[in-house]
Amino acid sequence: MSLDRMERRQFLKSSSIGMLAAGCAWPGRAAAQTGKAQEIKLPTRPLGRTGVKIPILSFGVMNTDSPDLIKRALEAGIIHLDTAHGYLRGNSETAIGRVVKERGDRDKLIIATKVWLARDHQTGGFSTQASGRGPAATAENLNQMLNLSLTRLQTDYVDILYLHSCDTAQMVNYEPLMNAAVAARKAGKVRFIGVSCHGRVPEVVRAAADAKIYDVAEIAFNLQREDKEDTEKAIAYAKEKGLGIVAMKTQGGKRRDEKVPMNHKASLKWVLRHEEVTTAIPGMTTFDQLELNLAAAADLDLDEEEKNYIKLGSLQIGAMCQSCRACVPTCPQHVDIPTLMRAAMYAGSYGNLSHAEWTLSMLPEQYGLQVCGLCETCIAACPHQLNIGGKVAELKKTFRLPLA
Amino acid sequence: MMPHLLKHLTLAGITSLLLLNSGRAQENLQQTLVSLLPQKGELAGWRQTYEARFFTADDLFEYINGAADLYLQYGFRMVLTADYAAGADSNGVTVEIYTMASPLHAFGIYAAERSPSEPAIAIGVEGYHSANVLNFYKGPYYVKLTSFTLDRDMGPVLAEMARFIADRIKGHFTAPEMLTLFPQQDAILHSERYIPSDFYGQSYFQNGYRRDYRNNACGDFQLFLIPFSDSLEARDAFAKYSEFLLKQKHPQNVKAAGENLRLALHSSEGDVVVFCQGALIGGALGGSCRQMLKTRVYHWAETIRLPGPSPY
Repeated sequence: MSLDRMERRQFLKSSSIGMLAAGCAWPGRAAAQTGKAQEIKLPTRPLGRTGVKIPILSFGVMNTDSPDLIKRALEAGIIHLDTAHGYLRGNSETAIGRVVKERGDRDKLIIATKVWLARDHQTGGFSTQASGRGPAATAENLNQMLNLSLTRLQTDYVDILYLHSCDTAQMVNYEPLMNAAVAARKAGKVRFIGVSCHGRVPEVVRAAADAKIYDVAEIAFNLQREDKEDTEKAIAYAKEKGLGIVAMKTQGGKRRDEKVPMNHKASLKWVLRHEEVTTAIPGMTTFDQLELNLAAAADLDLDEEEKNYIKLGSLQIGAMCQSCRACVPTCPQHVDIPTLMRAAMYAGSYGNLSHAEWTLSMLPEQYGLQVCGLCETCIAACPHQLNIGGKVAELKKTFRLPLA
Repeated sequence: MMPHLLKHLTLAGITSLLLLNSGRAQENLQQTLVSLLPQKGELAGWRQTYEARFFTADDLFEYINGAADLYLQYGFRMVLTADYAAGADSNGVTVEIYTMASPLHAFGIYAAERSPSEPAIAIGVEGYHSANVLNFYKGPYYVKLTSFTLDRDMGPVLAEMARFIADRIKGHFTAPEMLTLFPQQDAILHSERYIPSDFYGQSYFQNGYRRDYRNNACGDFQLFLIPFSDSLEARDAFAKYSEFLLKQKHPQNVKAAGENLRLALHSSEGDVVVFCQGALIGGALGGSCRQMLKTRVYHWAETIRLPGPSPY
């Protein structure tokens, strides 16, 4: 029997698991007797000029399979659920529709969805030709998609309809879709109109603020983005113009070129400490993440650790390997450290072990995870002072390899 | 000087070799994906209109935006996307072949995007046709065909290409064996799911399976199963989940219902029955007949056994 297994058994003896196995007592009884988990009061902010106020924490719903998680979020005071027409081929909208119908309080919620229409990547504008991922950018198609979304959501209207992924000012100002969205608002199918964007955020925010028909912009905004300073100026401009700002990818998202934060609470607080941001829509998949985000949103004051993290994050230190390869020549074992760091990012920050494993499998064994002796010679060479040794050690533990 | 220089040259060589190795793996995967498509003249009436494009985990976001997060959770590796003109009218069809981490992951993302209302068709392991879309999975591949001709049924046209690709994917594959452990009574067809992480919102639940059920008296509920590597791990997770449920669910009658490694909660938020049997955790969520669910689920717990090794 391994030491690990013995320690585990000893631990079990004294834990609630052991008590459960013996049929002695139910863990969590004390907590159960107190009833609900403690409620947290979420601050609210105005959604631009709409006259609507919403809590600063909202829920990007697409990645969760748990209706209970959505219900718990709504119980905790979140009222804004964000999805998109295309997420899970509509199953994300359908899941929200079921929860909302069951609760019977549609009028108290803010439901947002997005329609993705074809675009021409060469011109940076919408396209009237259908493309692989979506129908032609026409008023008719926007209406058809909106109607289908309303059916799935089991509602007569959405609170926010976004033109999905408008990454240029040209797309923001595309009149056929602007007119179609305005017509949908007049018809009562939509309360507010918005654009969502991931790239060229400052440009898109300014264009949306100037276009007059838009009430809200949903933007990728986080501590690690290189455009964050320009975005800060753009959202200040948006506030002047009455454009609400909904922040997504607040904790880095899963996009490779965004630097992955290690302190989720500090990252969310950093975004929400911008008064111009009406609300954030982190994509939560676990109850623990929900509780963490609720706690962060309820108290935006930073503790020392969070302050330090933000300071370091601003300098892009300690967050993610930049693949500069300065460390590689210093390694006595010739380990391909940047690849290990990429695997560590997938395993640690994304929780995607299979992708981490696949990334590691790309390396010949003699340059891989197994041969790193954790001597930490490489750390001195890292211009970003990345904790390479710590990340490799975590990776070894994850894949149950000896540390040295 | 010379040994130092030599060392640097050697290291530079190793670095190049590693990059080459990584690049070669990507190239091999690209070639495999291209080999699944018909070459010129192989499929009568089909003409490729644009060269195939490839996206990996590094840039999937540029292709499918926010949906990329979920694909990455399902072990996404690479997608090939190619445009075709099909038939006498040159109808535009886009073919996407997503390579996932394993056949199980391919089933997982396929099932996540499937609706139980869409009848299954026998292409690959399983597929469905809905409006202008035909999707199927086989092996580690999730294949999606989309037509932008909306005014007539493009099913037969899409099926032609789908069958061609499915035949090109070599090997015998079946649905995940764990799904055979689910009871048939009251089951909703094509509602099975595999969720690789954060199952039911719990970080300690990985690799969960579930199926939807409908009973006239009790309403809708789900049965679920989570296999663990050993019984200790299962008990550990069971204890954590029990603790979570007791905190969240405002339970009634727990004392009467609780037994060794079994838990049946009746609450205003929906009923829950959970069991831990060997290296498995299973149970039922939802519905409004705790007694019936408890009887069924406890019987299930007594008879269920993990299947042997499988290709998954």
